[in-house]
Amino acid sequence: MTDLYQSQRAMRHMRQQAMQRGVIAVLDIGTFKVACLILKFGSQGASEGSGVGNMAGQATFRVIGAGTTRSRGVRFGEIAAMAETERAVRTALQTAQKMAQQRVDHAIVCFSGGEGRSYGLEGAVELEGAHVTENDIARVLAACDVPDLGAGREVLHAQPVNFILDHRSGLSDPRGQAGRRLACDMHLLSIEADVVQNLVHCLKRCDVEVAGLASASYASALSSLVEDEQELGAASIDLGGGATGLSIFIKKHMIYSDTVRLGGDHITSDIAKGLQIPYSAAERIKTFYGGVQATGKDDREIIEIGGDSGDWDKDRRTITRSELIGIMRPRVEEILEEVRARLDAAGFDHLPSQQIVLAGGGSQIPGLDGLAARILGQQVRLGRPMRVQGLPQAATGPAFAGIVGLCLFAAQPQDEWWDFDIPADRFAARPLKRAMKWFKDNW
Amino acid sequence: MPALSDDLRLRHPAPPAEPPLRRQAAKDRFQPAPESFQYRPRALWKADPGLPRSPAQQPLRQSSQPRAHAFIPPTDPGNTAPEPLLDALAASPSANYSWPEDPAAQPVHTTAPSSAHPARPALARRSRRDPSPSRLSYRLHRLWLTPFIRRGITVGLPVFIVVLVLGLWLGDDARRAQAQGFFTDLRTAFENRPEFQVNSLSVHAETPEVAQAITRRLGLEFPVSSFRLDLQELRHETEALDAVEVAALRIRSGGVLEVSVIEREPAMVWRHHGGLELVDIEGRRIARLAEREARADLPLIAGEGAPAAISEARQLLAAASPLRDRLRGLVRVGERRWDVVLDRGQRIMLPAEGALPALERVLALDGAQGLLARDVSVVDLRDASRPTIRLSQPAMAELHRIRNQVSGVPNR
Repeated sequence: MTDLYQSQRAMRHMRQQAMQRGVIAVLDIGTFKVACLILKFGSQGASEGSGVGNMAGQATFRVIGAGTTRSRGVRFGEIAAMAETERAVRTALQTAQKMAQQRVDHAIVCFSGGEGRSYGLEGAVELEGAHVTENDIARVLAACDVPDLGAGREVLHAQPVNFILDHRSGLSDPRGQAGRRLACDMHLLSIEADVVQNLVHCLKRCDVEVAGLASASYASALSSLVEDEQELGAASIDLGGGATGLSIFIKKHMIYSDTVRLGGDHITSDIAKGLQIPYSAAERIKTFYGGVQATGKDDREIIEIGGDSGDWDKDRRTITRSELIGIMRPRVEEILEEVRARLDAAGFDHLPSQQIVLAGGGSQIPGLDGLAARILGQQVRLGRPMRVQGLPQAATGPAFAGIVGLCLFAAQPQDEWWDFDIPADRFAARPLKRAMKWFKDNW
Repeated sequence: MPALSDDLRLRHPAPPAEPPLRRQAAKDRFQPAPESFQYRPRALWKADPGLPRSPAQQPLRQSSQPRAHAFIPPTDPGNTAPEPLLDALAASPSANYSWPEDPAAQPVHTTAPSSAHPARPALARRSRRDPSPSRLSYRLHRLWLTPFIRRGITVGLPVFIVVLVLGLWLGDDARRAQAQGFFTDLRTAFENRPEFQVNSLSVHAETPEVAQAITRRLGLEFPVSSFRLDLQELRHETEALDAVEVAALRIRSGGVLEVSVIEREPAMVWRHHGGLELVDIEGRRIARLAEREARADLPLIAGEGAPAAISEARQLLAAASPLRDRLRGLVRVGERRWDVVLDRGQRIMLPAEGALPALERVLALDGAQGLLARDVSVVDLRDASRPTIRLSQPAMAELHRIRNQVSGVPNR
């Protein structure tokens, strides 16, 4: 774990460097598509006194390049064929670089594979002085008991979500407050190390260094949940191609995250198997005619399946839309019920607000919100990623919730465990840093 | 709540039963086309203009083109009848077969099968191509997007190549001389064009002597290109002539170099050891004078350094105007003071400082007592506190005689 701890620190450092240089890429390696955005950080944010806040960091960057390509060699959000994935990543990166007319050397990556598991940790220390200092926070974070993660698993996210000072809970920033005993709750997301290693290796083969890693369900929730949903409690469900991620937010912190290894690709393969048509044709039919709620009109809507077999009879087959719905619906129900089971296991019922937001490419199935409302609960809405500057219109759909969330993650990263253990010479580093900032601001 | 979950399952029954059965039914719904209707692929609705078409041909013949995915027979067999093979591939089994009896009237299907469906195979090939960039092209693209490399290639490399080629080409002495000669020839040819030739010199001066002197001094040989004439230099050359005060040179149209001069005005004649010279009002030398009589109208000054004090001389001459007819000239003594020389050898010696008041004093004396009309050879005012008069020799003797007579001293 110390290896990942060190490498996370290195990534954080690299990300800061890249942001100082002004350009960083965010990369979403999914099962269905690989998307890449190039962000330019600059001073074009909201000016002082204009009445616009920093808008969760959105105002500080601008998307200058975008590239999307069909994903290859990825299954369940994990790399299955390295060379194929490398080609897909190269395609996306080159497209984005060509659009941006700038090369990027650092990328922040999100992915949904690796079987993330959530742990809630807690730790407590006695304060050294009368007030809480940063050192105390580092100590209380270090005091959390790390559970046995299992063989070959490492920490992807470790975020302090709550601080308790004496008997007062729900503190987000206890620094400077007086007290005697400081406790904290931490959310830890573990992941299979090999998956991360493959990803890093794949990006290294594309001459790009990984400047950060994030879980796709976390990134998707960042962009699809609005601020009060994050505050009051909500679950974001990212219906991806190979895996469906879910993450629960409350008080603007992720407290639970999980992945169901089922997704849109399974629906497509059901259609392909059921209708005996090629995978690409099934994908096309699903996209154009898919649905989950059959009506009487759907019986009369004839869909030409098409085909390229040369057999005239086989290529002329038609089905009705209700037949297609009959194939898709059980699979969608299975996915949602699986999600329901995970939410139940996480105790989502006990949250004050039980808003559920559906995002990801799978959420574009017509009628999904009705079906999800029956299975998951009444407060379901379809989410779309929030708007960021310069994002192409083609990348504003719910399928791009993950990568837009990753942009926000890059602009305003959540404090993580490894950000706090600051070496003792930080006092020497601080004035230098301030001088550098002054130079950056004024030159 | 088990009741709720039961309810949920009740509300969502299994998907509509037996899709295969429904598909079978859909297939059964398909009615074969009537005999008269013949299926033709959409791409063939327009007749191929390249296809030979005999008027005897039935219109249905053209629709029997093979479809893209259909088997295309080889065209070579000459001894076997090609028609049934081709017609067996008609789109619909219920097609009306009809062909002319004469096999020679058959359209030759050598190019038609390949051009019938050009889109399909090309599309297939395009979709098979890998859209991802190769690793090399990816790296090259990234390299190209690196600002330093990019600037080096777009700016640095062309500059380097041009400099290198020029340097290599000019490295050889002979070639350098050749290039230089080429440009020199070009320049000479341009300068020698008739538009730029100057053929004559015209000097506008008040006296012909000055004009001749200028012409001699410039010493130009015509024709000459105007590029080779340095007018500034020629002007300085002209103004170096003593008689010229200001010169203006210009090249007029028609290839004439025109020199206009303003000459100096002679104000006095200066006599010195070398002879007579004319000087202007500022004391500058103008020309040599052969004899005094040539310019008898001008006053005469003499002595070393006289032109340097010419302004004082002018004042003195102006003041001495009552003596004008007696005045012979002014003499500069020791480059320090003036003597006024009158006829009969009379001389008024003026001091170095305050010469003008001293002269006016003498003139006043002359006016009151007729001093200068007497037999006085020198009026010496060099010491203002002790003006002295020197009498001539007979006058002095006469004075002694009168004094002795009065005092009774015997005449010696």
